[in-house]
Amino acid sequence: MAGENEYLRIDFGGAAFLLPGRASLAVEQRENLLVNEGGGAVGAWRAAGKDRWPAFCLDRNLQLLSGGGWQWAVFLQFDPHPVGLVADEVQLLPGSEVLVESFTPPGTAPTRKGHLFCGASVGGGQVLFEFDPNVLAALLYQLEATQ
Amino acid sequence: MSSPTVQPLHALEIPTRALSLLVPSACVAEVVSHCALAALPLGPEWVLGVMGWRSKPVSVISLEAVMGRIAGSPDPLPDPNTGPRRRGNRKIVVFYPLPGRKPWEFFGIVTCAEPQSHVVDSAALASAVDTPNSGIIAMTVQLGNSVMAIPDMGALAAVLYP
Repeated sequence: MAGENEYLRIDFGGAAFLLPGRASLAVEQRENLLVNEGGGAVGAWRAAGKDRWPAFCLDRNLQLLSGGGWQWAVFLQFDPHPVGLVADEVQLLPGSEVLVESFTPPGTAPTRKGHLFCGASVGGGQVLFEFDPNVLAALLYQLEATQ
Repeated sequence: MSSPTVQPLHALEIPTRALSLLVPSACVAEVVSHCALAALPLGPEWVLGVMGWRSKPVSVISLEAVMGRIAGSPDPLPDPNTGPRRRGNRKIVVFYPLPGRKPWEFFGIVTCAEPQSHVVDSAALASAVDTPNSGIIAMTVQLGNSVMAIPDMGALAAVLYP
């Protein structure tokens, strides 16, 4: 679990995004998860007592993807149970190494909870969008309902 | 008692595929060369992407697509980074945040040619002509041989940030 002023850089589907460090409930390696060998958008589950938390495969456009060579899963707190997304790479960035500016995506919010992004970091010719963790978790939970 | 004097207005002509916009130069933060844009996942089709500008993320929009969306007939857009519209003289006009919006909400409009500066006097403003059927155009004016559209910034803000 990351600290208050840290960010997780999460790479998946050929794109990278930021997540506030405080938002991650758990980051697990592939070998510690129940990998979904049957295919489908749920890449794996994390066993948690009698419960299991799903982690979804998304592409760079945040559309469901099947399978992939992911190595990590990042889980977010959500009620009734945590949800996650799988990633090719996860990197912990100290707050001093990443400058995140406020960002309002234009247009109608794509979820009932609002916009998915609340900030972005610009540097090295790259724009990294920062997820709003509450909205991302709600989106992932909605995906579970569609499975 | 003398009538109030109308000061000439410094304005920028912003050519787009649909029409030329005429905006007060004071609305414009900078005109930059077209650059690679980061796709905005789950964004509306009229957002071409997001660029980095002075370390800020700036959403870049297609005015044609915004107007098409209002008119109900969106124009299919090629990829903003590789599509056939990519030409050397394409620019991105970076606007200051719209009235009432958050201070970080700069946005960009893609042009199809180099923007041009104009000085607009009261006579030109008095020559207002037809307004196209678009909610984001307040009026049109004729400058020389060109007809230009003056955007309704409040209406544009309502589309960008509903």
